[in-house]
Amino acid sequence: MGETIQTKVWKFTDDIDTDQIIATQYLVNPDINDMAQYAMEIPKPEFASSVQTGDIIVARNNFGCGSSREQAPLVLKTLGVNMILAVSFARIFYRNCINLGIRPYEIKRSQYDLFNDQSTVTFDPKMNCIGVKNETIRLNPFPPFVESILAAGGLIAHVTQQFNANQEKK
Amino acid sequence: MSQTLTEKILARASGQESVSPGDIVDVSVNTAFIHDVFISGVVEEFSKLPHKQVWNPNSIVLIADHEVPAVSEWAGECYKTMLRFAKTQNIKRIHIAEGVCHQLIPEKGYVGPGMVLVGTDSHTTTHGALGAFSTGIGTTEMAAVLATGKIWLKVPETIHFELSGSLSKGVYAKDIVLSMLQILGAEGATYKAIEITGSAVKNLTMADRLTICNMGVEMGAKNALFAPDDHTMAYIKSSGGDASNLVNAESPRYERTIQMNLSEIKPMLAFPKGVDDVHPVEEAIGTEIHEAFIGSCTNGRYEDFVVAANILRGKKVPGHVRLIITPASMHIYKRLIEDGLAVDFINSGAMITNPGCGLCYGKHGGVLSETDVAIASNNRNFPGRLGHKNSQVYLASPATVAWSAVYGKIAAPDSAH
Repeated sequence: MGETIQTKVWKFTDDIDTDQIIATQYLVNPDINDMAQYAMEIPKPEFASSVQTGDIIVARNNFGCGSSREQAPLVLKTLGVNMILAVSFARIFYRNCINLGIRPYEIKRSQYDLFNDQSTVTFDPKMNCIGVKNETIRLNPFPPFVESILAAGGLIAHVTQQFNANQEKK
Repeated sequence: MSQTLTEKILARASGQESVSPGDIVDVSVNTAFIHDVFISGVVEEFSKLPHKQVWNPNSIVLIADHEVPAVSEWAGECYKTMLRFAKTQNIKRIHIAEGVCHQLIPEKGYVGPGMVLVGTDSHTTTHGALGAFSTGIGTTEMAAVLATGKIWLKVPETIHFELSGSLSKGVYAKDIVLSMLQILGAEGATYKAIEITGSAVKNLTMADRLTICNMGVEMGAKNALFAPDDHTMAYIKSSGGDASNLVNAESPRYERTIQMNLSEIKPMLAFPKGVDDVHPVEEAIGTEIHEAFIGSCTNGRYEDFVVAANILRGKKVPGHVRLIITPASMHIYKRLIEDGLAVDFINSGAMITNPGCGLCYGKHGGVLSETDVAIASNNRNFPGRLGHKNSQVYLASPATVAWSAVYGKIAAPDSAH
């Protein structure tokens, strides 16, 4: 095992849609830090004011379903969430996470059941695994192409790197 | 070979002979569109990229439909951002307050069979109705598409619906897709393609197909499509769409096939718990309603209003019901006026609004209060989606909505007898 990080768990159930992550009426707010104060207002009103950088979200099925609004993963990132574990993700939300540099990991239902809301678990970045209740959950690595986007810090940085590399070739 | 239509399109667009589910492919985009809610975000992300010009201005469509007429002090700035971006990038396809994106794109001929379409709206699955691969993406992703004309996609498995039989009286395309949701659930097709074929497809109009593909995303699907046929080509002929990317699939291999006999389908409702809490209308008959809505990118087409007008003509909606009619485009709105349907609606006590998305995302033009119960022809009823988090929304076909409006409570569409 490498160096581990203690991190807090925010646990959610099924079908947390993007309207619940950030409701429509807050999307007009031009200040993302301000907007983020209303994240998860319906399912977990205390979330936005209490979540700490590095905390992880653990959800069951279909996390992030609903609209394509990128503000949903963006408010979570703004609040310091950079890893989400879910039994399944909605497709657009999943891609938006990768494009913003948030790591969306799929876990098994039995692994989801190990987590308690507000409990502390350990994350080993080197081994890419989570320690919870004497169990170790190995997070599945992303395909190399996706990992290259995540490693760059998101799609904008990745496309910029590619552009610059092409310019040098010319 | 045995590729599905989705695989065939993705193979064509990534310059390969064939692709298989799970492959990650770099795909060339034919049409990319952005709507007013996300234009600022896209332009901001695009400005962070070193690319000064978009990859092809003629492949980009800008549509203001969510915030029209302006609902906040912010909206006017969105239109201006859109106009500025169109001018600096030489984008000609810009439509402010002309209609809902998922109606304008087919109507204006911006989609054709075999194309790859991406848009900053989850209901972009709609355009699979014309045999295109069409899917919703986020703002950052769109900025990258604008710069490169390309997008990475994981080739999805395909779920196949094979439709047979014919619809009974009072049963419509909306009831077909609600029945599909009942079978698959809200995530039954996550990451997957939905392909719809079968002997019944030839009787489904383009409006029907647009309704069904529109709600593909409610099953979690990446895309949903019908194989191009005579209906498709006739539509393309009148819209002026590009048919040069046409591909067809022969005896494809699907992940699974679900048989549906349309003769067995009843009028359906999605109950307020969510899009996949689907029950026959008869289970909710008599539930008092306060708002009835016919419109949206799901069911705001001319054909939908003909059905509704035939029910509402000569009748009066009770005083406690707000009936809202929202045509999906100005072109449809004009036809409603020219053909007298608009007068039928007004005489029945309806409000007719301009084309737009305001009601469907709980923003304006029909926002629900805490104790409101609504029956609506749109595609979503998540808690709080159309207003207060405790408001209740039943999703239904335009016919079921119209009959329910007439009675002031949920009614089956065969209530005439």
